[in-house]
Parts: sequence; C-alpha cells; structure tokens
Amino acid sequence: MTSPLPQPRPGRRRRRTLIGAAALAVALTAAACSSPGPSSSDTASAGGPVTLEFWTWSLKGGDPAAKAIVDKYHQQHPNVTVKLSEVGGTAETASKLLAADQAGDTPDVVQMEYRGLPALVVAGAAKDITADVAGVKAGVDPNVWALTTFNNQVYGVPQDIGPMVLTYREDLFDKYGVKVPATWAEYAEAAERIREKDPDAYIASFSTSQLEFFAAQAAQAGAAWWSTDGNAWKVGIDSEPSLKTADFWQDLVRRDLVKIEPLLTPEWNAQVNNGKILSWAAAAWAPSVIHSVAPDTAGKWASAPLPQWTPGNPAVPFQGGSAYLVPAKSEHAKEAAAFAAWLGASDEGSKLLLGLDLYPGGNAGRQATLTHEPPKLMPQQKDFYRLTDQVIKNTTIPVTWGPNVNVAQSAFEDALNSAALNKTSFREVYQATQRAVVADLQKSGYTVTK
Amino acid sequence: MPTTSARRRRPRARAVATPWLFAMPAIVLFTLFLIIPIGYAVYLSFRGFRIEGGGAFGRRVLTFVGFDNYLAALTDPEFVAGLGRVLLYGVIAIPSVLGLALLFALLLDTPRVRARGFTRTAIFLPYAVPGVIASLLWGFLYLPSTSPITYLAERLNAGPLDFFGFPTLYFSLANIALWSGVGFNMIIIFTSLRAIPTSVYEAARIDGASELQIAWRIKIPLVAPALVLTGLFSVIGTLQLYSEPATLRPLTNSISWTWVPLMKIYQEAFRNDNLGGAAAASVVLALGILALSLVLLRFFQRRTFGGNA
Amino acid sequence: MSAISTGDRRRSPARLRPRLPLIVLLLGALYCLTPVAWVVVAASKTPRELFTTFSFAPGSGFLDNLAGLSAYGDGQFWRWGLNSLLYAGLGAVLSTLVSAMAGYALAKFRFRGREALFSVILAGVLVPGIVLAVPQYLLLASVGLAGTHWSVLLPVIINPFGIFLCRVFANAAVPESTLEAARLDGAGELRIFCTIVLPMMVQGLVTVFLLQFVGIWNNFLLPFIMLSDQDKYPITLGLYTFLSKGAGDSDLYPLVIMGSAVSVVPLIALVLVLQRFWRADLLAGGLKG
Repeated sequence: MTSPLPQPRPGRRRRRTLIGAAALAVALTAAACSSPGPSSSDTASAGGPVTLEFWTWSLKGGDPAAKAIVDKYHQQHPNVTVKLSEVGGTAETASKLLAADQAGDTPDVVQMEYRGLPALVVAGAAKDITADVAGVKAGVDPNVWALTTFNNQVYGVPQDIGPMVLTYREDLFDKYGVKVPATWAEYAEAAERIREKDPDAYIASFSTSQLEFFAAQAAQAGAAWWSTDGNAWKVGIDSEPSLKTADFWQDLVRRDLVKIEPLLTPEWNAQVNNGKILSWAAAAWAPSVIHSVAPDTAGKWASAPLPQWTPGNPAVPFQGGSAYLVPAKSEHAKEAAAFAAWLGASDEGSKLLLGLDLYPGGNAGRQATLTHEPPKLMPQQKDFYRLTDQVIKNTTIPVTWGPNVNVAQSAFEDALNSAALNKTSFREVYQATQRAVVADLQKSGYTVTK
Repeated sequence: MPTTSARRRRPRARAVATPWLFAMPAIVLFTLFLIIPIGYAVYLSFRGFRIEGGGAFGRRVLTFVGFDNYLAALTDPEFVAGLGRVLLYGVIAIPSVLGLALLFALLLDTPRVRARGFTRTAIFLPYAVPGVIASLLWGFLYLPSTSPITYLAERLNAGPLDFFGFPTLYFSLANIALWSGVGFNMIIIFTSLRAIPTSVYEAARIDGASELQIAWRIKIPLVAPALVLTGLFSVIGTLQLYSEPATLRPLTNSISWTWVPLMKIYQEAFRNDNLGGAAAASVVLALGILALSLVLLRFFQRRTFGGNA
Repeated sequence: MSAISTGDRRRSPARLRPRLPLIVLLLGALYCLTPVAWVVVAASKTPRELFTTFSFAPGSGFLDNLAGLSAYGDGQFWRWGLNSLLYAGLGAVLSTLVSAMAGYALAKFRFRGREALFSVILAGVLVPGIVLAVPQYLLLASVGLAGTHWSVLLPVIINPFGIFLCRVFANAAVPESTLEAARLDGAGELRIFCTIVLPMMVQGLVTVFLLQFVGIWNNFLLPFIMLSDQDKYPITLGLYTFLSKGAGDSDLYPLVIMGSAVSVVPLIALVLVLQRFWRADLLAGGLKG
C-alpha cells in the first residue's frame, strides 16, 4: 500500500527532475521558434551551393554503387550536394510527396514508378521538365520517353525499364520433359504436365496483387486499359482482348494449374526454394529477386522470351520500372532536373545505374548490359542480356497509365481474390474494375468516352 | 469579519487558477495536436478534388463538395461490410481477451500459487512486441510452408490447416489480439484484485467457501468496474483495428485492401489521395465509436454500479 | 487451451487443485513466450533456412544477419535505434509529466468545466490517428518544424489515455487529508505536487510511462509522414523501408527479422526493469471510480 505520508528523499529528486523537464520545455519552445525548416537552410541563389534532396529506393545510402554515383556527380558539380533518402516504395513515396506538396516543402528529385506518375501529374505535384531534358533527348529511346510524356510534356527522366521474360527452373523443366512455352497455349500445356509429374508443384503462382502483370497481359493481347482520346479518357479494362486474358487465367485457376498464392510471401519463398513453384513471368528484375530469397537455387534457372498470344508476334510491354521526377515546388528545380537528366539519360549516368542491379532506361546503359555478367541466379546463361536486349527491341506496345491506378489496383485485386477463391467469373472482375475506374474518373470531373 | 474574508479571497483566487495551470500544458498540446487537426479534418471532409480546366491531364483542385464524401462513405458497401467484419472479429476477440485475462488474474491471485512473478511477466511480455512485428511473426506461424503448427498437424495426420479461410481467419486475427493484449488486461484486473482488502474474503474462506466460489461470488463482482473499463477500451481498440489485418494482407488472398474501416480510411487518405473521403469516413467511424461506447457504458454502469454511478 | 484446463479443474480430484492454477499459468506463459522465442530463432537463419527448415530449428546465420544489419547503410540501423530511444524516452517522460499534472488537476480540484474538460480529452481516444497525421504534418510544416526531431516528439506528448489513467491514479493514491495538511502548513501548490503528489503516484506514472514508451516506440505513421531524412528515422520506420520496396529490389526478410528481434530487446528490458514497480497496489482499485 502506498504510504500516506510524503517521502522526502524521492521528493527532492523529483523536483530536480521537474526543473530539468521545465528547462527542457523552455528549450523546446525556443527551438520551436528558432529552428529552421529543413529546406530554408539550403535556399541559395543560382550558382551558390545547392543541396538536392533525392527520394529514392534504388540508390541506398550505404550501397557503394550508389555512393559512386553521387560522388561522381559531386566531383563534376562542386556546388551541388545530393542527399539520398529512402521513404518507401511507390505508394509511400507518392502519398508523402502529395503531403509535402500541400505543405510547400518538397524534395528536389523523386523516384517514382511509371504507373504512379499520371496521378502526380494531375495533382500538380510534378514539374514539366520538357525544356530541361531537351539536351539529353537522344540518350533514351522514344518508346521509353513515352512512359514519362503526357500531352507532349515530359514529366520525368526514365531510370530503369522492365523488359518482360519468363524466368523458369531449367533443371526441373528438363526433368519433367516440359518444353519452354513460346505461346500462352503452350504455357497451359506445360502447366498441366508439371501438375502430372509432381502433384505438389505448379508452373507458377497466380498472384492477384500484380495489377501490372495483368495489365501487361491485356496489353500484349491488344487491349489498352487507359488511353487518351483528345481531352477524354478511354478505359479498356473490359475490352474484348482484355477479357480474353481473363478467360485464360480463369481456366488455369479452375483446373488448378496455377497456385493461388501472393508473390514473395514466406509461403511463396518456401515453395520457390523447394522447387514447387517453377517459373515467374515478370520483368528482367525477377532473377535478382528470386536469388535473394532462394540463393541456393542459383544455376538452376534460365530466362526465355515471354510466351505470346499470337504465334510469331513477339511484342510485349514493359512491366514496372521507374523515373525521376522533379516536384513542382522544388526550390532548386533547375539543378534537380539537370541531375535527373544526367543520371537517367546521359551515357555516364545510365552506365553507372547498371551497378545498382537494375536495367537502365538510357541507351548507353542498355548497350553496357551486353558485356555485363549474367544475373547471379543464372551464371550459366551467358546470353541473358542479349535476350533482354532483343525483348526491348521487340517492345513496341506502349502502355498509358491513368490518373487513378490505385483505384483500379484495389478494386481489381479485391475482386480477383474473391473470384479466385470462390471460383466465380474473372470477366466480371474486369468489368467491375472498369466500372470502378470509370466512376472514379467521372467523379473527379474527367470526360470518359466509350 | 472582514479580515478573515480578505485573507481568504486570495487563496481562493489562486485555487481557481491552480487546476487550470496544472492542466495548461495538456490543454495547449491537446488543442494544437488534436483539436486543430480534428477541426481541419472535419473541414476537409466537406472538400474533394475536382478537375479544373478539363483535358485528360487537367489539374485537380480542392473544392467544396458538400456532403458528397459522407454520402460516399455511408453508401460504400465496402465500408459497411468492413464494419460488419470488425464487429464479428470483436465478438470473438474481446470476450477471449477479457475472459482469459480475468482467468489468469484470478489464478495469480489464488493463495500460494508458485512462479507468480515469472508467469505474470511472461504473459505480459508480448505487449512489448509492436503490432506489425506481432502480425509478421504470426504470419510465419500461420503459413503452411513455414508453420510449426501445420508441421505438427501433418505429422499427426491432421491434414493441412488453413488459417486464412472462413471463419478461421477471424480466429487467427483474434489470436494475435489475444496474444498481445491478454497480459495488459491481466495486469489491470490483477492489480484491482490485489487492491481488495483480504478481510473481505477471509471470512468466506473461514466459512469453508472454495477458491472457485470466492472467485465467482466475491472477486469477480468486485473487479467488475475494472472489467467494464478494460472492455470499453477493448471495444474502442477493436473498432480501430488496423495493423494486424494490414500486415497480414500481403500474405493471403482472404484480406482485401478495405477489409476493416480503418484500412479503407488509410486507403483513401494515403493511396487514393482522397483526404476528404478519408476524413468523412473517420468522422462517421468516430461518431459510431462514441455512440457505442456511451451505450455500453450506460448499460454496464447500471448493472455494475447499481444504477447510481 | 485454457478453456480445456478450466474444464479439467472442475472435474479433477481435490488434491490436484493447488497445482492446477500453476499449470494453467505455465501454459499461458508458454503460449506467450513461444512466438517471442521464434523471433530469436528465426533471426539466426539464413534466407534459405528461413523458408526451408523447421520453424524452431536454429539457423547458422545469426552473426551474419547481425553483421548484415549493422552494415546496412553504414550502421544506419543503430542510429535508428538511438532515434527511437530519444523519441520514446523523452516523449514518454514529457508525456507522463504532462499527463500527471492534468490528471492531478482533474482528480483533486473542483472547478467549473472540470467534467467537460475531462470528457473532451477522453473523446480524443475516439479519433483514429490515421486521419490526424496529415493535418498534424501540415500544421508543423507551416511553422517550419516538419522533418525535424520535434515533429515526431511534440505530438506524442499529449496522450488522452495517459491523462485518464493519471486521474484514476491520483484519485486513488492521493488522500485529500494529506493535501489539506500540506496546504495548512503553507506549502505552495507546485511544491505540493512535486514533493507529495508525484511520489505518491509513482507506480501509476511508471505504468503511464511504460505504455506511452511502447506506444511511441511502435508508432509508425507519425514518423512516416513527418520525416524524410533517413538519419532521423526511428527503428519502426527503418524496418518498414526494408519491407516495402519498389519492384526489383532484393528481399530483406532476414534483416527485417533480425531487426525486429533487436528492436524488441529494449522494450523487454524496460518491462523487466519497470515491473518491479508493479507491486500489489498498482492501480489501487482506482478503476472502480
């Protein structure tokens, strides 16, 4: 029981603590009044020292390759200091940038996946840098520039691109006598054969969380989920070619030929390690992801061109990849755009990006991949980068992302999840997503044409 | 006597100011970091982004949209379904957390029980584990390929267990809440048990009442007010359920982006850049919680305090 | 698990009874400790072992993982740890003090507007933090504090639940008579608070401190929205950047798990140290009122 009488000794100590706390509160108020905001300290006139705050997840503070890039730029531009900061992936970066934009306290360069760009453009958070990048225009392919160009205005410098391939377990495909599929029809046959040979194994997991994958599937089949028609948006998620891809995957799910399982969960990782998930159709970054969860399977994998819908037509769209944008309220927009242009589009910059284990969007970086070692997952596949280079040359399907990709993502993913679990119609999923996306566009005030 | 009243007035004036001075730091901070932001959120709930200037890449600007956001929140089937899920989850989680916490507290309070310090600390320990980490680690323990439970079940020929099916998902989530919350509630109930003077049940013990009878007839009624309050905070916490389903979502197809109301609100605020919609949904949720709390409090107050509390 | 045990208790012979409480409690302890043990075991695993070996089989990569965590971003993880200690430690101390003062005022003084003030503060528990984060950010940004340490410290000092608990503690632990006696002796109100009230409330304050420390330590959303300089991140935010990556980034599960294990250690230590304050009369039946 607490003593009802005051205890003198702890009391005195208490008081000292209290005085300390009071002093601190005063200091705190003083600091509140005097402490400069993070950006006001580096406001400088042109030519003076400039600090560029760079939000990126590809250039990590402690990574020597990232440090080499920054050091190189500092060497050439002694008045510029680039400060790297990782605030999360695309979704986190976008929401933070929008809040920062509202507060008028933005960074100077921001990495953003292509699909996240339009939402930031219509929010007015990204700056039109067409004039700033005019000088490096030739450093990047036009179909890559297309990913960051809206209404003929450039809003970002491409960093990396995702040419799509099929990465598969070469050893197990051989063992089970499965031919590497060249078309999606052959893919279904291969899936069937794998289920016969090993009842616990699947050709791939069916991950509903990969909106980009399904969008790419539809694009490969000839559909455009978003497109602009003059001043209006056109949404084609429920267009016939798109629905055909829905039918294809529904059939595989119905016949239990793919495993309904999100990607990169501990479960997926375990299945990949144990040779129970045998392939992953994704961009060229897939091998390094697989290697990080299943390093012991290195040497057993290979990549092949993505299967096709129409035999003989090798065109595929890009999947993933990101660009550098300059926030509209950056205080050093000129220097920021110059840095972004150097890193993404100059010969020197795009070659350095290769050191970050990503597939550079710039021509020089792409050229450099040809003499690069194959990914650690497939040291035996010496022609890996010749393959991806060929894929890029075939990549002629431009994908336009709309301003409300997030609305599509959650609507699509949630509906597809329940359809996959309850074995209901996938077409209905695409149609429901179409309705959600159109309704959201109209609510915001966009014109949507049929 | 004028002198006395004059001498009295000054201390009285001081006495009026004193509590306000003590409460001042809290009031200032509360105003700055809760009242003003809440006011701003309410203001935002009447605003939304609309396109200005037209065109496919027309700029979005914040404009007054009236009750659009409230209408959208109230008619959104996912928001309503999320409320339903949270209630179902709460029906499972709250009684198990409170029931088990009460059981442990009563057991700790039985005379001559051994290892009291160890078990009390052990049961409280999970409270220190962040919700995100707790969900991640239970995720590992639920997923078939990494789960020791599934491993053992398969050795016993019990077949694979699906922790994310229906209705098992609700129990899997409630289990996480139970694991992290039982110790905290146990401590609160236990301490109020210890505050009961032993003389209250010494007499019963001498009369030959068993420990079970003492617990049921004397102890539980005496700690009922503590149970009501822990229950009330559990209800509030339940309706604000977020981090467990949000962390488990990437691991399973059974949890949607908008599975519970707070996930829907987060989604609107941080992914769809629809702060207005998020604010409106939050106002609806907060009012709902307030109403439910008042109803529960009234109901239990009448029962536990005999209507005069 | 415990339901079965209570059922057993009813049926079991009388001589087993004294042991049953202990058995049930030990089962409860086992249930609570097993997942904690899993984190420690999992932290010792290499990526392959993590996904392929039996969950509780120790791995071979403990030191590697620890070294990997330390090496990440030139030892950034430890800096995050220090930041977390700063935010949670200082934030919880200030929060406890502010709560104690307010709780004491609400419990021991009768003044007009007392119940209204208390109700308004208590209603603060009802508003989900998710929707307040952005307005708080805009507010702090407008005075140039966003992105600084203060932006994470200041908002967590106010804690409605802490004020509620402090009021309960003050009601229960501070007798009117003691205050009256002190006032008659001519002691000032501040002096009474510091030398009499605070020592009497110390057990309750330990609870409030602990709850708030854990709350701040585990808080993710506020630092996420406030900070963009990685050097100022707390551990939770740092670990989150491990988990959320853009497509194509390598997978960091072992670092996340090792980081989780390390980040839980100070919290467990704190619980162990502070729990000795939790003697029998922690809440002193105060929750009755």
